[in-house]
Amino acid sequence: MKQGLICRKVTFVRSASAGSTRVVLDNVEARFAPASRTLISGPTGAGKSTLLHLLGGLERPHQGEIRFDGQPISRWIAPHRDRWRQRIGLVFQQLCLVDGLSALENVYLAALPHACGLKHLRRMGLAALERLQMSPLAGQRVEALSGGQRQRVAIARALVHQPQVLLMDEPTAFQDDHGVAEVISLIEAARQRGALVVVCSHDPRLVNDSHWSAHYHLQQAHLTRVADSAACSGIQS
Amino acid sequence: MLWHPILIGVWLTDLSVALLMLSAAWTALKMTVAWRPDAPSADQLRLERSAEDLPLKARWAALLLLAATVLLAVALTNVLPAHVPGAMCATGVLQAMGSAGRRLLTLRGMALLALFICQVIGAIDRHEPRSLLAPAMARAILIAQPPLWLSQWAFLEAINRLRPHAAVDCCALLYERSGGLAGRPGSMPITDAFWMALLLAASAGVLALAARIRWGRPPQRSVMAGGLALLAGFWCVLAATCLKKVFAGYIYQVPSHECLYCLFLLQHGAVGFPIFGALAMVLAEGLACWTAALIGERRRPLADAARQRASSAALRIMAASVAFLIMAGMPALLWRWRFGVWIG
Repeated sequence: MKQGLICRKVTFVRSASAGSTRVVLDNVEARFAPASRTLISGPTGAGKSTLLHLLGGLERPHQGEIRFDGQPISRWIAPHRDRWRQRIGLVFQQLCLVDGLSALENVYLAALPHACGLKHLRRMGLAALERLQMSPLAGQRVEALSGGQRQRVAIARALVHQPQVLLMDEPTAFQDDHGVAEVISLIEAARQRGALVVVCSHDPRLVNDSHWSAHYHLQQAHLTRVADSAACSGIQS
Repeated sequence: MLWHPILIGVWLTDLSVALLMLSAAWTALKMTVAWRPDAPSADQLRLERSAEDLPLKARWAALLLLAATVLLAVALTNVLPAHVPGAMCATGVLQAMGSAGRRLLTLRGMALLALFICQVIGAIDRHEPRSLLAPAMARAILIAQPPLWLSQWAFLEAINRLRPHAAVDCCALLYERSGGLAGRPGSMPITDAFWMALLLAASAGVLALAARIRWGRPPQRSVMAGGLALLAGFWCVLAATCLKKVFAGYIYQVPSHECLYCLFLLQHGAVGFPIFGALAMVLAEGLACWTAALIGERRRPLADAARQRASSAALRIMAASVAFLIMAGMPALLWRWRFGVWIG
């Protein structure tokens, strides 16, 4: 990874009721460098999740483009966008776990394109769950877990194949203070191994963390850069 | 006008193809006018989204048109002769259809080939994320429109000319009248040996050229592929002629009967379908090989994918031409083995 992710004049429009439309993102410009952790904050409904979905190739902008290492990934044709999605780790706000499967199965499902052999997949899944202290619950069905535990499974699933790009949508919404500290340390570990991490959150416990490489604020469809690295400390306190 | 259920089936399938191609043509037309890949404007991104559907529409159109054409072939050769007085195979039915029948078959063939080339372009383009061949695909879809629409018109015209009470001549009568059995008076007789020598020489040429493209590393692949496409076209004409002049007699087990449409009849095992299928494959893959080689030369990022496609086209040409020789030649060899003489 050389240049990281770049948003160039990204505009996204969502259809509202009765044929009207709403501009969710308007000419958004941003750069997410390699081996960095970036926070995007903003009020509920500001479009943080939409931006994350655009970065992850789940949605396509109506104008502008998203580039990864110089390649316009948002304009790639469908089979290649699928391959892009396999390269990233994504934690959804709604978690999107598969009910009826165990925590371990949910986690190694995401590693299927990257490894072959059930034994290897299980080992990868267990290692990811271990990092979140979830290995004792590996065999439990996800619908039997608490909200916080389910969120940890979702984080383990995003980390299982050690992605180059890690996108996290409200990853601490169901976590206590101890859980938040663990999530922050995982984010930092991913950054240290060279991954690009983008976190969308309005959780003050994350916003007040002082180690973000960059901090953007999204409001009324506009993304503005708040501050760089050390200056981030105590921005929203 | 004769509206047999099988003809209604062909017409409805054709109608689906027409609707698919109409929507594809509209996108293709917009692309030829407003395709600006360097600017990620709202209009361009909208076009790019629509362009992603083009190969899919072209694939479905090609599959449906192929199905409709096979159905039409079954109708012409095995179903409609029973409804056209005097007809014993498709010769009589086409005679009843007049010039519209021949036009229908020619235009259908052209539309199928154009849609097949769309498939080749789409398959190579899928190897590169930026859809580099989208404008070429749009042009190919526009090129496929005239033969497609004209064939639809020719179909209706041909069906309109079918009359259940107007009698036609059967193929045997027609060929006898045109001197098929005795040879045209005054014309120089060409022996079966001459046709066979010509076919075997052309087959050797096709196989050698295809093998060179498949396994060799020719410096000017597109020139060689173009040569293969032309040779494949010539070979198809020659093979059909040999089928008519030499092989047909062995298949029908009569001294001379030059009607190619009788090969499709069930009493002759409907061998016309696989035999003409092999001929169509040689012709189509020849064009695919040439198209792929041209793309590989002009679009460097797609060179590997194009080389692979040209190489697989060469292999298919070899397989189809050998299959044709076996299917057409086997009855002659069996005849020689059983009776110790050639018919000619």
